[in-house]
Amino acid sequence: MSPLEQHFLTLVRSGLREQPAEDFPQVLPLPHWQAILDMARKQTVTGLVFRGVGLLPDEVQVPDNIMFSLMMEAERIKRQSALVSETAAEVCARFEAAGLHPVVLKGPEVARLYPDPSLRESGDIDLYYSPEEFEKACAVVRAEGRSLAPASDGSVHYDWNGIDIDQHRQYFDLHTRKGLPPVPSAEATLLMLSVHILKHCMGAGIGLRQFCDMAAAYRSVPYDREKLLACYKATGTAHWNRLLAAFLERYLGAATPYSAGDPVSPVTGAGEPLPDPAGLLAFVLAGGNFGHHDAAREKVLKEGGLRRKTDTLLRFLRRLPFSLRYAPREWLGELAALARGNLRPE
Amino acid sequence: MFRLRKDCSVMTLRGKHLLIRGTGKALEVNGSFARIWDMASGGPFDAALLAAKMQEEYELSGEEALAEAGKMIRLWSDYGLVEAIPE
Repeated sequence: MSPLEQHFLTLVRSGLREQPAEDFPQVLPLPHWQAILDMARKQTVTGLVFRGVGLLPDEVQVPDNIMFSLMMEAERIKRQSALVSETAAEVCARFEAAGLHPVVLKGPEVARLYPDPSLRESGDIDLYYSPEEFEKACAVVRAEGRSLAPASDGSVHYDWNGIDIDQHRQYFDLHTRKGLPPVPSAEATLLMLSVHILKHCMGAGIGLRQFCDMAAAYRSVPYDREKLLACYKATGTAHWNRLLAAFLERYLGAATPYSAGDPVSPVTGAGEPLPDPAGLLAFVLAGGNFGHHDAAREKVLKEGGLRRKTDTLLRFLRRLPFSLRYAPREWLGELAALARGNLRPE
Repeated sequence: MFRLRKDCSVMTLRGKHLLIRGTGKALEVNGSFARIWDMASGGPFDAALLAAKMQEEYELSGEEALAEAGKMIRLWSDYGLVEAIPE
């Protein structure tokens, strides 16, 4: 990890934990500050860096133009967050009036776990419906005169007030149906957030924001540790969750169910040393938000069509060593789904 | 009565204050401006309501506070930062 990356993560950690940054240099050259700001944008954690800068000791010199840029972006994030929250409330009220029970996943729901929810960047809204209600929800959307666009994973999306709504028929982005915790529950929320990160790590990539979500969730969601660890083991995601925990503990200062000091359990393996997360950090920093900032991927996303689908598949195959090591069961399921969904002509 | 426009806000960071409009335009303002803006952020206000808060904060006389509050509301109005709420 470079010194710049360390400084960046220090600010993110500080903003996430609402604690002053430790060991931050008093003076950094302007290009270094600009690089930190670029990293924050690429990882969609500018709101956290804004908070982290606010908590720096008075002796640390922050250039005025960096502060002004941070304030402008924090204001934009707050405005967008407010719009997303209002839209989520409006959409849910519409569906509830139709007798349905939408569950808001990720985004606005996980923002509530942050010290300042308005500073968590939100772009779209993810809703989950039970199998019995999914098609009824689609009918409500059509009755509103909105068009539904299908996605390769069986979900649909549509526009509402300029916000993209992703409507899912599965709560967990998992192919296994074994060992799933009941929905809703604290363990379900944590598993859902964890496997969301896993799936993107198996493919084109994911940014730091979702790891911050997980850190915030571990801190604020009241879960049963033994139940959670047993659920990770039963779903075949224990190895992945140990790597994720290592990442959260080392880079975000988060407490996780695997935190040191716990007795070793022969069932869950908790208490053993966690794997080295350095490779995962490098992957996250290189690709940025959903891998969109990888230069080659940026180019392909602009082209669209078959080129994009082929690139998605190639990236998935390139991540094979990671996927086979941390989630072999899911890899096979994902390969089949990807082939079905992405190679279908548009 | 007035209220602050939704697309206008004052952000603060390490003692610096920025008045930002939804159009993307920004202007650095001082601490007093930011503090009075904060007083007006709670909901609808008029000169009397704002003056009462300023009187407490800055230990002004009632007359001084009312004059200052009136000046501030006129300034905000001239720059399109507030909107009048119909009676």
